[in-house]
Amino acid sequence: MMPRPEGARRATLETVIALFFLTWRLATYPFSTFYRDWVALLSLYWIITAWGQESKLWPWITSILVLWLMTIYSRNQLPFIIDGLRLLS
Amino acid sequence: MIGGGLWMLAGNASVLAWSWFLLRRLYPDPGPEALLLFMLFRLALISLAILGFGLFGALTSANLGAAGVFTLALFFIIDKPPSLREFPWPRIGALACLAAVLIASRLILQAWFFSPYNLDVISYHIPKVAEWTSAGAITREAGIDPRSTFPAGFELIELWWVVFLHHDVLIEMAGVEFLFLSLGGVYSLARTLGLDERPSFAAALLYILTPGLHLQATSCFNDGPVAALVVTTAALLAARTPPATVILSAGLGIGIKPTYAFALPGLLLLCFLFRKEGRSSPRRPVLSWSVAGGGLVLGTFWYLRNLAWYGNPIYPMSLRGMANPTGTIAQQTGPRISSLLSNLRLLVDQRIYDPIPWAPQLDWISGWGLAAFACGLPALLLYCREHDRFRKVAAGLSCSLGSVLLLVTPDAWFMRFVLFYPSILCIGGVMLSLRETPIRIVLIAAMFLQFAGTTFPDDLPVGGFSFFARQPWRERSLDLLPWAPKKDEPVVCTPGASYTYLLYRPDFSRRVLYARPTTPEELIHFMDRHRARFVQGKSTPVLEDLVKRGKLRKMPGQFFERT
Repeated sequence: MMPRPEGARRATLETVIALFFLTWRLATYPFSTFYRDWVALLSLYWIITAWGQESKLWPWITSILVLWLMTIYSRNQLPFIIDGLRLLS
Repeated sequence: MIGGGLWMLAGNASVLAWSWFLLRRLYPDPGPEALLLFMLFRLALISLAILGFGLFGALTSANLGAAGVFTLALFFIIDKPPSLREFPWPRIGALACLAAVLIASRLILQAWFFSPYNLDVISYHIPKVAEWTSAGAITREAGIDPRSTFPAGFELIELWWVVFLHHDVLIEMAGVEFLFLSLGGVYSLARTLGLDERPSFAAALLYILTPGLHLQATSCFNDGPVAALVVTTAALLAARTPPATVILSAGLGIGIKPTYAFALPGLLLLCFLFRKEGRSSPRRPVLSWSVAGGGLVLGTFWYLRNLAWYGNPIYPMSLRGMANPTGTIAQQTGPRISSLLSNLRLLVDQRIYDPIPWAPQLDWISGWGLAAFACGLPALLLYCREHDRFRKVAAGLSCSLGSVLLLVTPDAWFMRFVLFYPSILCIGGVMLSLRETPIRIVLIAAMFLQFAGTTFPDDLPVGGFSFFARQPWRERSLDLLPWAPKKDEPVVCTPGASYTYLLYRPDFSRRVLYARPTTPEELIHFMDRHRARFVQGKSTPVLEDLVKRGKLRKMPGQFFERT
């Protein structure tokens, strides 16, 4: 669902800002790392939110983003947590 | 020890009663910030009591305990006994209550079993706690490390937990107190943002499980307490409590570490953004301004002391910063755009992912945790778009984040200074989880993982937790010194001596003396005068000369023995 005219102006402005961040990340880091760059992912999510927050898909997109960010973070930290808990045994 | 325990009970009962008195007299209807104000008054009263008794050379268990009994009796004369039912407890539900009890119980166990182990902590943070406990006074001597002269607001609370038992087994409880302060802070902030009692408490629990903050609570670091006070001040400003409490909170923060002051621009912005909302006024202006006066004393004391003794309120920092032994600037003084850019880049690209295990010193990590990262960051974006009050708080805390990063040197551990920021991420995460069930599941999973991952800090000494747990509590200590003189032998510390806290022993039974000799004869004279046979210090020309002349003999580690 498209936002109303005043909402469209705001959505356009937000998109420009998000695109700025997205361009910065794409210019600085290889495209192959895009999927695990939280700034790039949030910028993309920002654009989706600006234009489609009313959409039925939006809650799913939000949940998928959160799950994906959890995966990115846990990839580093989860093995350490499990390793640390071995001290209990 | 039993006598000390009884005095400790009396002291704590009195402080709790008078905190209750201040809360009821000043803010009869405090609302969600009641827990926060109560904890704040408690910490302020303890700090002022220790400072007062310390300056008058009366810092002993019996003195503090007797004062506790006397002031408790006074309280019962002028006020009715406090009732737990009267306290405005938040209605948080059985599950949250169980989680809080579980976290609190584990913190108490951690405080009991851990002994100070971080090298910075035992080198320059807490040797002054040992020295002042031994002396029964706050003396000029605070340790051999130049950084020992930094503000000691947090050490006042540590002294409270050490003096009564004349033992350091409960020293970590000082950090736990501040962790509960941050619990109250985030709860109050979340309520101001419109959350109900249960989600607000969930956000507060989530924040105190922030790995960096949680691990700092039981490791004698003072950055966690500073973060707690930044959050407290933000909560008080957003709730529009009277200025006296804000001054008290700011005073406590500045008295702990100057990095609190680095966050002030954001707190001022917060004050400005919330200026149009109604402010509650205290009933008793005189009492209220006395509270503010207490804050001013706690905030300025250490800086005025350094100004009087060293001619520089931020000694040993200078306008150029503070150099390390190699001559490079270890910590800057004043703002630097290059620091801001480097710190931001490091935060965004590296530290926020926590690429190595969680540890209280936060080397190479942010310690913000899974919940703040996975749920908090998207929530920050969403609620800054659509929630006016959330946007204001986020703007204030982001400004504080920026100002701190502008003022600190990019190094391995600069993220220690911005542990306040995950508070808004945790609140946002909980707000988002109320909208989407899958996010609620992620948040609960994150809470469990953060609870599990903060059981043992990664930088515990070799042998980990069992190393401490195996030792009887009276003897529990970090066995880092490769060799040490017999228990009752006094030791003289000279410049370059490290880990001096360990020399005191957990019950402060060893006499530790500090000497800064300029000639070999001066040191020998000092040792003879104090009947000390051992010296610990870096191999300086003074010590080398005495070794060459056969007056000192090198021993393992940094020790020397008088021949």
